Amino acid sequence: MNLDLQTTRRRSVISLTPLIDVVFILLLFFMLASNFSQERSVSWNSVGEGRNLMEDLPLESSRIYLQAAQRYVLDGITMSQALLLEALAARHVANPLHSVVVSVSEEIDVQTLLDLIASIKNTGVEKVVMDASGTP
Amino acid sequence: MNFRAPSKPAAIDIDLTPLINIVFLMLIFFMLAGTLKPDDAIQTAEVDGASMIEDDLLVIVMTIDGELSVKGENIDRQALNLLLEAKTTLAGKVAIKPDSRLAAEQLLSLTEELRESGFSEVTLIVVSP
Repeated sequence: MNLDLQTTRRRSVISLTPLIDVVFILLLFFMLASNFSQERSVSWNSVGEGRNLMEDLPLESSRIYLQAAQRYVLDGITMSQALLLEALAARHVANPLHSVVVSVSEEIDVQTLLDLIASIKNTGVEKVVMDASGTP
Repeated sequence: MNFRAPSKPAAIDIDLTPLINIVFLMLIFFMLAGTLKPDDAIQTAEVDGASMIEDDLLVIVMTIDGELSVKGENIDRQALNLLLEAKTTLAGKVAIKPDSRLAAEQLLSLTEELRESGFSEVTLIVVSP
């Protein structure tokens, strides 16, 4: 009589815990280190001191001096951004070839300048040029 | 006499398979869709509606302090000029990747230097917001 009923073969169980640990670590690494913003490019025109603006620009152009964030000087008059854009849009309607020259003061950072250029281009003005000489 | 087996509480058996499936899917997504952050240590400026980057650009990274680097290596103005001279002979194009908090004046003066070195078309490297 065989009474040895306990000798069932042991099921080999693979432990998944180390695998899950490693996969979680990889997941966290890629989530934190990944970057989804794609780099793009914008054209960047500038004119410098000693260069004649008229070489590069059509006859009619407006000069804007960005004195500080939200302080714009157009033709010697300080105004808000809304007024400035309105004036530029009107000039663009009157003369579609009208261009804009922007110069900046020391305290203006790149992002502020790029934002201004984007809003000027939204008014329809095609040619926006930066003046590197920094004079108002 | 009690012949019934003692009633054990049923062990809670959580099935891990769906969790592992999702984690694997997320892992593969991030591995394929993301690119690892470049080691430029700058905060790239954001511009709406910028265009695709052309190939064969010499990208000059400009940090918040106005320091320059090309391909991850810091360079001074002299080294940059040498690089630019080589680039001019190859008729290559040049782009600046500025930190968004950099003083705009410094960016304009570098642009001007590039113009004087013969690069009439300078582009800026930005990201879409």
